[in-house]
Amino acid sequence: MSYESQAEEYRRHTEALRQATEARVRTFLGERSATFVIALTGDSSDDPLLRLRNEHLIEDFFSHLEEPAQYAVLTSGTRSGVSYIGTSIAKEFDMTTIGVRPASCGKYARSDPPDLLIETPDVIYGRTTFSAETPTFVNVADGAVVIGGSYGTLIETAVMMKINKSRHDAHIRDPHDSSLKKPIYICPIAGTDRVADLLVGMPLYEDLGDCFPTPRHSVETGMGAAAFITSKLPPLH
Amino acid sequence: MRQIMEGGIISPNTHLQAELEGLRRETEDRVRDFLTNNSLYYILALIGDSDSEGEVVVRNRGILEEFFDHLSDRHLYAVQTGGTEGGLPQYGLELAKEFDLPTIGVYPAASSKYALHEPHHTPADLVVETPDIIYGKTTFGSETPVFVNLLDAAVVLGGGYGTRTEASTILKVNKGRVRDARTIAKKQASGEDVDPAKIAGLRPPVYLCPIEGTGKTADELATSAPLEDVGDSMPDPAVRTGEEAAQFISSRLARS
Repeated sequence: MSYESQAEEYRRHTEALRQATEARVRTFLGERSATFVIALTGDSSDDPLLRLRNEHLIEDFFSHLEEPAQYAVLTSGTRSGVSYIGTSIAKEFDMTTIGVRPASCGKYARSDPPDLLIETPDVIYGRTTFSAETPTFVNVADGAVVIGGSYGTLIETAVMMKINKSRHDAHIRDPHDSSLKKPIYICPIAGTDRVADLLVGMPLYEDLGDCFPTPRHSVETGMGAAAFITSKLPPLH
Repeated sequence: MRQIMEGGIISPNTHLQAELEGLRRETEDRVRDFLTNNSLYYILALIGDSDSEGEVVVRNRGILEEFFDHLSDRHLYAVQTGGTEGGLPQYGLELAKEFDLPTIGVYPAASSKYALHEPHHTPADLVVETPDIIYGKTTFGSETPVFVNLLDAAVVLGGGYGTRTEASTILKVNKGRVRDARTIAKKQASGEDVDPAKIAGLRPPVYLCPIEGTGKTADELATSAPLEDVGDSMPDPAVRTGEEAAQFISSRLARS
């Protein structure tokens, strides 16, 4: 089989997996009456002080969400940092949890997995590492809360902003089209350092609409993040 | 084609994984053959601005001409961009061809309609099309992990969120490579046995050269401290000209 046919065959099968994954996620969210998916992204460090601070922020965030059961919590499903504590605290709050990670990075998985785990295929050149899952991770999210974070978080938020740019452009072209997707609402928690603070302070190159809190430095607590997310993605009553 | 959807796990099944493994090997062979047949050692990316006309293009072309002029052993380089119409991906490849450098284009198969095609354009000499993602719409940006895995070095001129994604992915890769090299060096220094396979598996970082003064992502990279230890993968002090960028890339790659 030629390389081109091999690639086409693989593409066809990936398309089948895409359709099945989307259907499965839809059904899963429906069964659990979860309306929105909120990503928690940020620090991967297990430094005890950082962990305490982030636990407090995440608890504060969940406890101020109106109807928390309507929000599924998305992380990479790994056993460190914001990903780990985010999933653990979400479970304590009886919230639905979702993980997205590369299939070949299973050794970093937490022992009690999220309620739904999506494993992404390897890349077609070189080693598959974390961040290979980012395009899928970002597409699953309706909103994101950013706490500190390093390059992985920077990649995730950059992809979200790129997607938001095209969604905003589409909205400007046709403001009355209700079928257009909303932006991924990004809520950096100011004062948590590194990527969160970069997002708060950096100039925006292009108009991304209302995907950030206004002003961007205005959210400094979990409660503030809950207010922003709830205002943009209100629960159904 | 069924995939594993047992309990709460959605995962590519073994058939799909085997198919992917075949495709990955074939892609790596094609790249290796391309490099060997053209006596090439390095793959250098040009990433940045998507403007197709105006002062930015004139400025960037000037910087790149100076860069190629001053690049030592230029014949050892392939030049990689998105291989698509418009902006730096297009004029970067056109300029590389003017300097007789082989070219590579990497883009999502789903976006192939934007690729440089004949008769209106000269396509890249080697094209790598990346597969779709498994949730949502496959757009530009999904090719980034493959784009970065191919590289030895990258020059950044301006650039928006796509460029930031690429540069951040390079820095994430570099963080891991620098950490691995330091861990092994530390073990060796203390007389500990180190698995020879681990030493053989070490790779130099992807040298990342933002050109200060070209705006947006390039300026962000050039003027802010790295978030993590990425070794000497970026110039310090920052570079401002094509000549300085060529000196940085040439000296780092010659050493590695």
